[in-house]
Amino acid sequence: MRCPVCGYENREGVVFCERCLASMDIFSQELPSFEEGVFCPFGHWNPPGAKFCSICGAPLEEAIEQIPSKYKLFHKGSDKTIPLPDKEEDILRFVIGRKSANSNPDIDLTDFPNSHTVSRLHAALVINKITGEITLEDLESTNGTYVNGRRLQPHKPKTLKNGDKVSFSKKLEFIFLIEDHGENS
Amino acid sequence: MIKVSYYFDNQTIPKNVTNEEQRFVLLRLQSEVEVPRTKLNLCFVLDKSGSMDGEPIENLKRAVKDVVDLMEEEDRVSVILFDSEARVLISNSPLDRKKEIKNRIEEIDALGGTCIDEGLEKGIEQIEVFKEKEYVNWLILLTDGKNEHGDDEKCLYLAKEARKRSISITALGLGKYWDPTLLEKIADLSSGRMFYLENPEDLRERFKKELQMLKNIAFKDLVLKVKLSPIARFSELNPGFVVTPQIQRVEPLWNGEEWEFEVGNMSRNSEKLVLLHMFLKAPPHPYINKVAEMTLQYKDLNGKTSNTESHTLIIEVTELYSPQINQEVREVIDRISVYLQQQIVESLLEENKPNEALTVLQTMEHTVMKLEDEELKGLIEENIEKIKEEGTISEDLRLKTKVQTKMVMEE
Repeated sequence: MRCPVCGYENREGVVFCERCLASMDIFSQELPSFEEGVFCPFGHWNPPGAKFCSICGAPLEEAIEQIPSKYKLFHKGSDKTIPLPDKEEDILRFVIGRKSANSNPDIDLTDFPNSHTVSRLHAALVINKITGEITLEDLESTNGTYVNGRRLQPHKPKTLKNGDKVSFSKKLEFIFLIEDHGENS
Repeated sequence: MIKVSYYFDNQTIPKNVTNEEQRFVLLRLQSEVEVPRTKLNLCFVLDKSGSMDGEPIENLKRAVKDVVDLMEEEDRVSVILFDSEARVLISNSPLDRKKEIKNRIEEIDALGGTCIDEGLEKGIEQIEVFKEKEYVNWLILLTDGKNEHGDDEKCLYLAKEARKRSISITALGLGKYWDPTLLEKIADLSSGRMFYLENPEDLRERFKKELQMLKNIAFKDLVLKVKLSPIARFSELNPGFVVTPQIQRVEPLWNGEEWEFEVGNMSRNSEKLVLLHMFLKAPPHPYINKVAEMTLQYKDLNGKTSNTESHTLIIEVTELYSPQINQEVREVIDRISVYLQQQIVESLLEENKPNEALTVLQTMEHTVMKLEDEELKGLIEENIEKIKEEGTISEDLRLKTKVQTKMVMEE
């Protein structure tokens, strides 16, 4: 049994690490949320749904899902990337907005600058893996959804391609990216 | 007299255990009954190296003179000065001519290098000049530098020698260029204490506090004697800790019949916690099994040696085993884990592994939040921030954190 804190290789059955007295069940019993959380590439634990490591700032996209996602939203101002995690479904739908008591969007923009101008349920990004079509739809947001500077009509999906500028209100702009993982791996 | 009570983290053990079971025993030592006034045989071992020049040396002189003023006529005092070598400034004397002593202290001039071991050696010699069993023997070591002209190994040997001769050492580090590992070992091996003094102005208050603490000592040379049953053994890595007032790792010595832990001194009407860490093999009996027998030996200030009654530590084998842990023992384990993990953080930073250090600090932060230790929480968060920003921490933050994780209570 390896201590999760100091790495000491303990004999079986210890409750506390013999070397540093860390509780060996720290990742299960004591902190149930640790099981649900994600680890960044440097091993720091973060709560579920975190996009960037709270300790070192590393993006957590790889940790969020087993399947590496090739769809991303990149925020130029902060240099942060929001992964759009892949799942074993033919059609992926991500609601983008701001988390609150009565909204739980798939992509929460609370931590980005000017997020107060983002509606709770602002827009929906849909990836159809069969047809290969990717669309963005405005969900009657107050300050509008923009693709390459053009405001979308509510509920009229617009096709997205790699490198498009997408804005949730005029004040928060991302670049939509599709990465080709085939070449890397 | 001193009373001892004990608690296991879990006093039951499941039936048919295959692995060794880890168990902790928390001992609570309580001192009672008024004893005569504490008589002191106190030696100052003071760093007068060049770096002490100015504010530090002036504050130090004032601090020592304060203590001299507060000592009683029948107490004993001696003063050793060291730079790259050591000399006796005031040989072991009673306090009947305080003015003369203070005039000698005023003469101190800061100059030269740093050799702690020569200072300690001469200090121990001076205490030995007047050795009455009714006296509490104590050495206050102050330095602002590393042991550049001395030998660290010799310091540790002398700290052990001091304990054998019933002398404890308060090791005080001033400023940020001293060696906390060396001073901590000197303090721990002699059942003393260690402190960090950030500024020269802190000297006077700390010296006064040390004297107050010393004047309160009622029992000395406490030795916990433990006879283990064949099913029990101590952890090799961390066999035991004195928990209060400062966390000190203690190593048992085999006296041919039983294990002995040196656990230091006790003040009047005070409490001291000691944690033992052991492993148990499958017990042979179906119900109650003996783990150990234990007594505490101590000396009072009439020079009398006493033993507490013998306690038998037992463990109960049960089919209805639950891994529940005694909350009080749990808190002590958690508190010590923060102390041990801080040392791991230090070595990770030395190896230039800031991200690994951050992971350990996160665990420490979580633990101190649970323990509701606001001061320590603030310090750990400062560590986390600094490492995130700069990849490492400053020397004074390291010293402060080290001493604060060691400190459980101020007496």
